[in-house]
Amino acid sequence: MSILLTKETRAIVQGATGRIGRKQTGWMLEYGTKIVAGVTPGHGGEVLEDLGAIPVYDCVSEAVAEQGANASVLFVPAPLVKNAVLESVDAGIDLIVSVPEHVPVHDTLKMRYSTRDKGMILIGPNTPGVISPGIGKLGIMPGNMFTQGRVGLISRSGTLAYEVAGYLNEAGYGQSTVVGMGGDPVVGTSLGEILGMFEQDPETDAVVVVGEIGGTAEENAAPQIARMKKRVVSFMAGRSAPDGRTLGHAGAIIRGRSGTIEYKTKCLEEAGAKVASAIAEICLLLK
Amino acid sequence: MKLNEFQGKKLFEKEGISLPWGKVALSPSEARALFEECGKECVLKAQIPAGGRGKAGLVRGAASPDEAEKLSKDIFGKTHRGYLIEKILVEEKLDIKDELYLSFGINTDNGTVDMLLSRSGGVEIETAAEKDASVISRTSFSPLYNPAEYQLRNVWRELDFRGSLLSKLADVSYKLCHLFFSYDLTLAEINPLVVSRNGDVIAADAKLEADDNALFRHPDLGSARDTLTNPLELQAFDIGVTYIQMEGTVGVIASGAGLAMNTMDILASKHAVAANFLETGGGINAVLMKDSVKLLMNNPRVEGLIVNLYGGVNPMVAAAEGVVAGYEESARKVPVVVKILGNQQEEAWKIVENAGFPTVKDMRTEKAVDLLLEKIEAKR
Repeated sequence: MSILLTKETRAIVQGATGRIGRKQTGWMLEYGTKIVAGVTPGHGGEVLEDLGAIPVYDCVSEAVAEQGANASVLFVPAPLVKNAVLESVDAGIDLIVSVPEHVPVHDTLKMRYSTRDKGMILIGPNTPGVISPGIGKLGIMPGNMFTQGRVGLISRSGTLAYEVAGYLNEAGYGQSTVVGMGGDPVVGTSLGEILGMFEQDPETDAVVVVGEIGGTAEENAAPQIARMKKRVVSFMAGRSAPDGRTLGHAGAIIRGRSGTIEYKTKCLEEAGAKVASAIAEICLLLK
Repeated sequence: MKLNEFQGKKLFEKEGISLPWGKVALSPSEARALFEECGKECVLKAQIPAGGRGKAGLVRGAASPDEAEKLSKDIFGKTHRGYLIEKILVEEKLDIKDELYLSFGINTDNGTVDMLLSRSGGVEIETAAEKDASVISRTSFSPLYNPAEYQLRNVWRELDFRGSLLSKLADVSYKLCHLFFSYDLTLAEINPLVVSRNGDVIAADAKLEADDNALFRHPDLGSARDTLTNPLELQAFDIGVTYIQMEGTVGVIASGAGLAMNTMDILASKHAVAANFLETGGGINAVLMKDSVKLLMNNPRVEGLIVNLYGGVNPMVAAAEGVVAGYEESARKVPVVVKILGNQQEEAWKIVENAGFPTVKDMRTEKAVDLLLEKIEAKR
């Protein structure tokens, strides 16, 4: 088992015919992901011969009807993301992974509201995606950075997920599923909700949370962590960040007391999580 | 992107929100002329896209044309939070009965649009709210559509506003909310929202923040570039990377915000300080990387440069070529250490190793930092 991306996942790629979409679709297929179709309006009827001959449809509903698709990963330009997500919602797609950065936040609000309203799951936007080693990946995470195992990994930052996975691999802690939450201030699925999925997953023993300064994701996840039987180890980046500046991830703004590493550490520790002060320390705390 | 008050008020005017009389002066003599045109006591307000103007003495009342000219002479040419003051809004002084607070913003926890109201508006609202959270009333709305006018009216009614004032407050709230939705704003705040002695509701200030990612839909708001003042930040904007000036001497280029922050944290743990935060996002190509390397190498404060990259969506061979080209084209040379992992890593390593850069091939950022600090030390 794994969370989100499982053996039952049949994915489409929205934007599979674009330059980035095509390359990433190739890498997802190479990794063993069950990609059943591409969707690009205006390209319906094409076949991606070099990519396992997957068919391309004009609309998501056709891909669902003909290929039984139940998940979608998006590689469309940021201004078109909202429309693409709403199309997947209407077509009944259960899991939507929205990779592109620079999606307007008002669009994200509408995507988030619509997916939750229908009980669907939106990961992102601005996410490296989801990878379940041994099963597949939806997004841009390089497959060679991860190994199969029983640790769940959740990260607000893509690049830090890779870095942390490197240390986990070396210490023999493979991963059940790795989830990039997305680096934007508003994302589809909260840290607490993803932690809840890992708690239910029989093939996950412990969860590593890679957070960062700013926002309230870690603080808000504290009640969920307090309910969990599984061990939660966290690391957060940004200790040396100057007060009040946005450091790249728009989410990383300190507002008042909440958002600082000290406050986040306090909330997480009170909820029973172990907090590492350096990445190398994470594996020691998993023991 | 923060908008200047006068830009916000232009949007208010289009929307039909009541404003004090006011015009922008570009010189003390213009301020004097505008005072005379207004014909009554005025307030002079420095126009910069940053807060804290009142406390910095950049909002001043003037009772005569002479005073308007003299005070504006003081204000022009000052710098506040990095912004040079070149414009002053000369505005009619209001006859204030009450100062209220009204804003719309994004609730990042719940993904809703939240309206915040208070009876105690003014500069002290933040301190007041810290002491007693109940001075602010918060109402969450669905982000799908503008709330209806009656929904906003009912919130004011709960704060015991009645009669024609209630209708006016509902009206200004509806208009501000409409702006919030139609201009992709992340914050729309009126503080203070003035109730005048004759019962009018007037927006004395306008604090609007627009979403940089949505500016393509609103060309009339201008460019985020216009709000940058630091020349290095301007160059970085044109290169297409996120750059923030820091206090130290070690240049940092990373392919993600988290990785950049972690690199800076590791530097700090070794008592070294980053000269900058530079994050490429997912848009790396050879030119972007070349220009980023040159930007940092040509900064006289930078003693060494760490390039820390992961190739997920970013092409690592192009990145490596860009690093080498950037080094070669820089007149000023400092030690460079490169760490690259991800797609095409073997080929990328070859390129940077052939160029003679120490290259780290595993996830240990710490190793790259140690290598660089040794090199910097050796050069001193």
